Amino acid sequence: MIKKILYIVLTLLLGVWVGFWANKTIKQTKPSIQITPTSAEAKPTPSNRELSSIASQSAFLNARDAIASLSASVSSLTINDTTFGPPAIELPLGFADK
Amino acid sequence: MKAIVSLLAIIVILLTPISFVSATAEKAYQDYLFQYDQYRLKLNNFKVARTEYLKFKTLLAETTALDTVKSMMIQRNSLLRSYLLLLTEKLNENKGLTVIDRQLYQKLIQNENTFLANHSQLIGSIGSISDATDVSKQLESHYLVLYAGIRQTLTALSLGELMNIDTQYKYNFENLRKLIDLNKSAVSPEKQSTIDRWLLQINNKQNLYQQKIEQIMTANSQLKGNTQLEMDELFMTIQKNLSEAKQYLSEGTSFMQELITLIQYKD
Repeated sequence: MIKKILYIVLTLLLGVWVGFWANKTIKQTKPSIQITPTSAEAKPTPSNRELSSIASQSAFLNARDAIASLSASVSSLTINDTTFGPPAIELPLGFADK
Repeated sequence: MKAIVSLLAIIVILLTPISFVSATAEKAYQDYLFQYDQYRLKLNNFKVARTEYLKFKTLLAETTALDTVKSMMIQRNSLLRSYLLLLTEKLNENKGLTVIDRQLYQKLIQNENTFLANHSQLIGSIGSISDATDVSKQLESHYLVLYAGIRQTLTALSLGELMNIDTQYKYNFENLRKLIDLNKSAVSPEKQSTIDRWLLQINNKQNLYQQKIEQIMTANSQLKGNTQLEMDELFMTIQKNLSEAKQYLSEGTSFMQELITLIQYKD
C-alpha cells in the first residue's frame, strides 16, 4: 500500500518536473516577439465640417487648383541664380605693372 | 520601304525646329561654358609667357608673350560675346517681360556686341606688346558700361520671372473675387466680413509687391558705379529687394489658399 502511494507520489513529482522542464524549454526556444515600431501614419482627422455649396462648383475647383499651381510656381522661383552670373575676366594685361 | 523612309524624314524635319527652339538658351549656356574653359586655358598660357618675358626680356619670350596675349584677348572677346548671346536667349525665353522691356535690353546687348566686334578687329591688328596694352585699355575703359548692362539685364530677367508670377497672381485673385461675389447669398454676414478682410489683405500684398517692383526698376535703370565692386553691391541690394517682392507674392498666395479653405466649408 505504502509502495503504491510512493509510486503515485513519484509519478506526480516526475510529471511536475517534466511539465516544468518542458515549459522552460519551450520558453527558451520560442522566438522572442519582435516589437516593431509601427510608424504613426498621419491620418487626416475626419473632418466634421460640412462642405459649403461653393465647394462643389467647378469654378471653385478650378480656382483651388490654379492657386495650388501658383503656389508651386512661386516656391520654385529662384531669384539669386548664380549660374548665369557674368564671367570673371582679367583686364589689365599686367605688362606695365611688373 | 521608300514610303516609310520618306515618312520618317518628314517627321524628323517637322520635329527639328521644335527641339532647336526649346534648347536655344541651353545651347548658348553650353557654348558659354566651353568658351569660359578656353579662356581660362589661354589666360594661363598668357600668364606663363608674360612671366617669362618680364623675367628674361628675350626676343623669343617677347614673341611668345605677344602670341599668347593676342590669343587670350581673342578668347576674352569670344567669352564676353558668348555670355551676351546667352543673355539674349534668356531674354527671348522670358515670359514675363513686356515687348518694350525685352527690346530695350536686347538693344543694350546689341550695342555691347557692336563694341566687342570692333574690339575684335583691333586685336587682329596688334603687332607689339605696347599695341596689345593699348587695345586692352580700350576694353578696360568701357568695361564698367558693359558690366552695368549685364547687371541690368540680369535684374530684368528676374523682374520678368516675377512679373509672370504676378500676372498669374492677379488672375487668380480676380477669379476668387468673382467666385465669392457670385456666392454672396450662400454665406453668413459674419463670414462675409472675414472674407472681405482677407481679400483686402491679399490685395495689399500685391500692392506691396508692386511698390517694391517700381523701386527695383528705378534702381536698375540708374545702376552705375565707379568700380565693379560698387556695382556688385548695388546689384546685391536689388537682389535683396527682388527676394522681398517674391516674398509678398508668396505670402499673398498663402492667404489665397487659406481663403479657399475658408469658403470650402460651411460656417
